[in-house]
Amino acid sequence: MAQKDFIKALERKEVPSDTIDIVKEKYTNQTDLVKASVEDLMGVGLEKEAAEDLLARLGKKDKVPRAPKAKTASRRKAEKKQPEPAAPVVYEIPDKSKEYSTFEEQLFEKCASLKLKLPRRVVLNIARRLEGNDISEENLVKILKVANQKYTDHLMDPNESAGILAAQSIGEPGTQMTMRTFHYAGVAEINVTLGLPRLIEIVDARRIPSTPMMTLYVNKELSGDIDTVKSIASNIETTTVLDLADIETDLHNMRLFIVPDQRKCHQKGLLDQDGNPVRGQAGPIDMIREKVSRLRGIVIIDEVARETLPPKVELAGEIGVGYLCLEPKEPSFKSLQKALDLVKAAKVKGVEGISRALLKKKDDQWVIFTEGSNLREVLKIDGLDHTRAYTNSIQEINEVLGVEAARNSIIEEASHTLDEQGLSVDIRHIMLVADLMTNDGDVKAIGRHGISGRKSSVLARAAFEITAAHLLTAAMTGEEDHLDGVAENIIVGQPVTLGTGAINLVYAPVRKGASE
Amino acid sequence: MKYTRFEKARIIGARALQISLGAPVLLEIPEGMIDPITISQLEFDKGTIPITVKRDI
Repeated sequence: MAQKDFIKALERKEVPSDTIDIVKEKYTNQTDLVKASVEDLMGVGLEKEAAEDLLARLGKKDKVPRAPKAKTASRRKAEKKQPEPAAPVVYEIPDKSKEYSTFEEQLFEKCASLKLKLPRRVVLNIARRLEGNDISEENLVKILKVANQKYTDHLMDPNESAGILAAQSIGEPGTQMTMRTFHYAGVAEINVTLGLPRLIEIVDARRIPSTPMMTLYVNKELSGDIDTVKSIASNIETTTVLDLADIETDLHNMRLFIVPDQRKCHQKGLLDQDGNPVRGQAGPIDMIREKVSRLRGIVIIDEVARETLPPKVELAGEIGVGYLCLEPKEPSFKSLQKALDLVKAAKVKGVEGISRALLKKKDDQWVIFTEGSNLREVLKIDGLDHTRAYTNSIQEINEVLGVEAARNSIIEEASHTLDEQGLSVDIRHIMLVADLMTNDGDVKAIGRHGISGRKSSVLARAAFEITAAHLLTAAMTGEEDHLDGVAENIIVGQPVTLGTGAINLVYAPVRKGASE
Repeated sequence: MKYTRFEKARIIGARALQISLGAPVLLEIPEGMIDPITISQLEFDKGTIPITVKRDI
């Protein structure tokens, strides 16, 4: 690797390739090469000129003896050709954090002067709660001191077995969780997996939750207006042809008829009360026509003999206005059936993956709950408050918003699931689990395919599952075990690296005359 | 240096073992105090134990 980089660096400096071939036999990096003198290089087998030229290119000008004038000219040219050393690229870390308010600033200064070590988050929380209240200097100091005391009381000692505590603290209440799967998340009709199955789902980092769900808020200024919210919701909900129209099959003539239903179209927000298209939108028939025309293996027919129409279609009006007529490209029953299935499921509008959208009032604001989830697409919809869009799919949050958001979502989902069952688990235990799952940049499951299965120690892995297989492969590949973890040390019969066992004692004699 | 509770336990334990094996006690101890652990605790409180910890962090 290093050799390759070295050669590349020389090539960049336009060193002739035959020179490189000779030099690379002896030198492996640039620093050594620069240190070498012309004589050293000649010893390796380089011509004098080539050696001088090489060193000059490497920027070792002072030691290169002046060559005859004619040559300097050409060399100068060569030197000029070599690009100026590029200015070092400075990467600036974008600071998106908010600036501190004067009150916050004041609190930070107070903490510093009192020598309190409170984390930023705690100080900002205190500031948020106190902002705007008239608090005397004395009380402020008291508050900070109490906060600091509470905080240090909650700090864990180094070498404390935090992971085991977290596992037990989540595991014990877990035994009390019901196996009852379904609950209703505020809105009747939408089922959400909760309880033990949901907790397992979170910890297993499943790609798609068994009941994906979104909670969407509408922009503040629109949220009171039910009609606007309704139309946004209807744009999110997937609407298929079957949701808007009746489909008639004419087996005799091998045709399909799509007859839009006024009542259905009105329900889906495509027509208003009087049966006119909602303003700014095409009528349902045109929308269906546009979608159906893109389906493969289906032809739209614009002329049909009136006598051949089924009675129900005959009443619907003119072709292209009251109904659409389709024909499969191949006249066979099989392709007719196929065409029927295709047309039925054809999406007229809505967001992929969201099968239903329901409205619910939450303190005089309309909130949209959806069955199914597609965060990426939903974030493109105007009128929604994108900062508050929420999905229960952790994987989706990870893909769209990043790991930090995924971590927060694991914490939120897990603690909500436990809370909902009336179990109180300290959020810090859940945070530890979430940190563990997300610490290397993507969401990993706990268990065989995730954390436990990827431990670096063979013995720890063998202690977890499929002991024989792990030991066998380890023996075949000659794996090493440094006995850093707990499980390994228990197997070997040593004190574990936790608590008292993790401490190394040192003899520290008191020197004579040393002050007490 | 402030010791964590694990460090304290480990130091006292190590010193108690030394005392129980006959190491000279570094303090004037009250008459009748014969339990090496109690003696070691007393020594720890007074800060006379010549043992400290090596922290990896």
